[in-house]
Amino acid sequence: MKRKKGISLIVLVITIIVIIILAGAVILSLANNNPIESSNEATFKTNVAEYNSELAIAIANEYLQDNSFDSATFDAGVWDGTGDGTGTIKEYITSMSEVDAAKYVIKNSKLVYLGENETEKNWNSEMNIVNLKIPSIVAVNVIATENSTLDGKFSEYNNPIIPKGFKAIEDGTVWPTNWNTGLVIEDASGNQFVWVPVDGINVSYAKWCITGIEYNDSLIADDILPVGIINERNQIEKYGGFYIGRYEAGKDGTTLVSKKNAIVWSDINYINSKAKAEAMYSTDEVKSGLLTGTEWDTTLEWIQDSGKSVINNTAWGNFNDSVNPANVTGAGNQQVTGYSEYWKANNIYDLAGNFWEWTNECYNRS
Amino acid sequence: MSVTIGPNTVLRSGAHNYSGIILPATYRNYGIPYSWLGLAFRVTLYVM
Repeated sequence: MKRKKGISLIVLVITIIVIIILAGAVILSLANNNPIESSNEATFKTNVAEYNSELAIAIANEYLQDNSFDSATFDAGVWDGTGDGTGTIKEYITSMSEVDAAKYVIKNSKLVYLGENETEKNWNSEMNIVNLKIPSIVAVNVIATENSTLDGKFSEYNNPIIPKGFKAIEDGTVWPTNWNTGLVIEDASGNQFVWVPVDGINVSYAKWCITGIEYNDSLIADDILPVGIINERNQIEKYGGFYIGRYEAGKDGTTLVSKKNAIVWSDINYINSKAKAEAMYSTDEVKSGLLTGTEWDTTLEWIQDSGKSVINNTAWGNFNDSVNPANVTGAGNQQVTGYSEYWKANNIYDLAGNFWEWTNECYNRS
Repeated sequence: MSVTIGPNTVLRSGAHNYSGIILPATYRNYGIPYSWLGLAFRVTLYVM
């Protein structure tokens, strides 16, 4: 009897199974290493690098034409595709496509992304390009429903951002005229924070070392940032400053507050104070944390630049040997937050004296 | 004065019972576990 030729059913099934397995492996590989996505990313980053190069040349040309050119105020807006782009980003970055020119601006001589595409935001961040959203407008004493400024223009050290959920209040200051004397914001619960302007000239964002004081590089500690806050300097670059608690953290029962006349939360260890501070605000618009050492130093530099001594602060702090006008009744003893109007600087209470304060700082990570 | 309580914490602000600079002067204070120390603190905001 002749034997029939052909593929057996078992061999066919095995072959199909192997093909399915191989196909799955290819699909998985493509999902993890999408060549199209990689190509798009490479093109995007190449374009952005070229834009930055052109921008650098444009800035250099501005200096050549006018040696009084101030790069800190060099801005250019989006181009809507009409006209030749004069006065917009297109004038300075001629290679920029119409699509990109609608999504980027020049702010303080730097390329800034205004687009909403999350992938492009991430790619920009990887190239140290700041992502910004044009702020909404909000009036004084009105709770902002979005991150806002009083005039709808980008936040600067002298025109601070008013975060969503907060209102600008004029407690001894006028917005934004008194930007350098302690502008105050307040949330719906009455918690208050003070704007520390960082103009990069008179006040820089950095840890502070004073010659002659025992502080050297081997002792400088790193700040430990909250989860999700990759770089607090990004905030400084975006908005021109930061907000510091107006008062030492107080407690209202078990609730953390930054308000006047609260019992200072002084019986808390480092780990719990950090956790409490980070839990106070956690929204897409505003997060919170324990004051960093860099922020502390920057605040002191600002206060000193404003004319108050941070080395001899007995005239504005709560100490046993406080001097006039800080030597009020109660001086030398721990008091509630904001106890005395004479124990403040730049509208911030109790930086000098009253209680020791933790900062989010690591002496030695190992 | 700021104080480093070993190995990984730093304090700021002058103490209440004597005048002190509030600069970031640091020194190590061995032997006091930071977790035992109850102090005050201050909150900062991160505008996103």
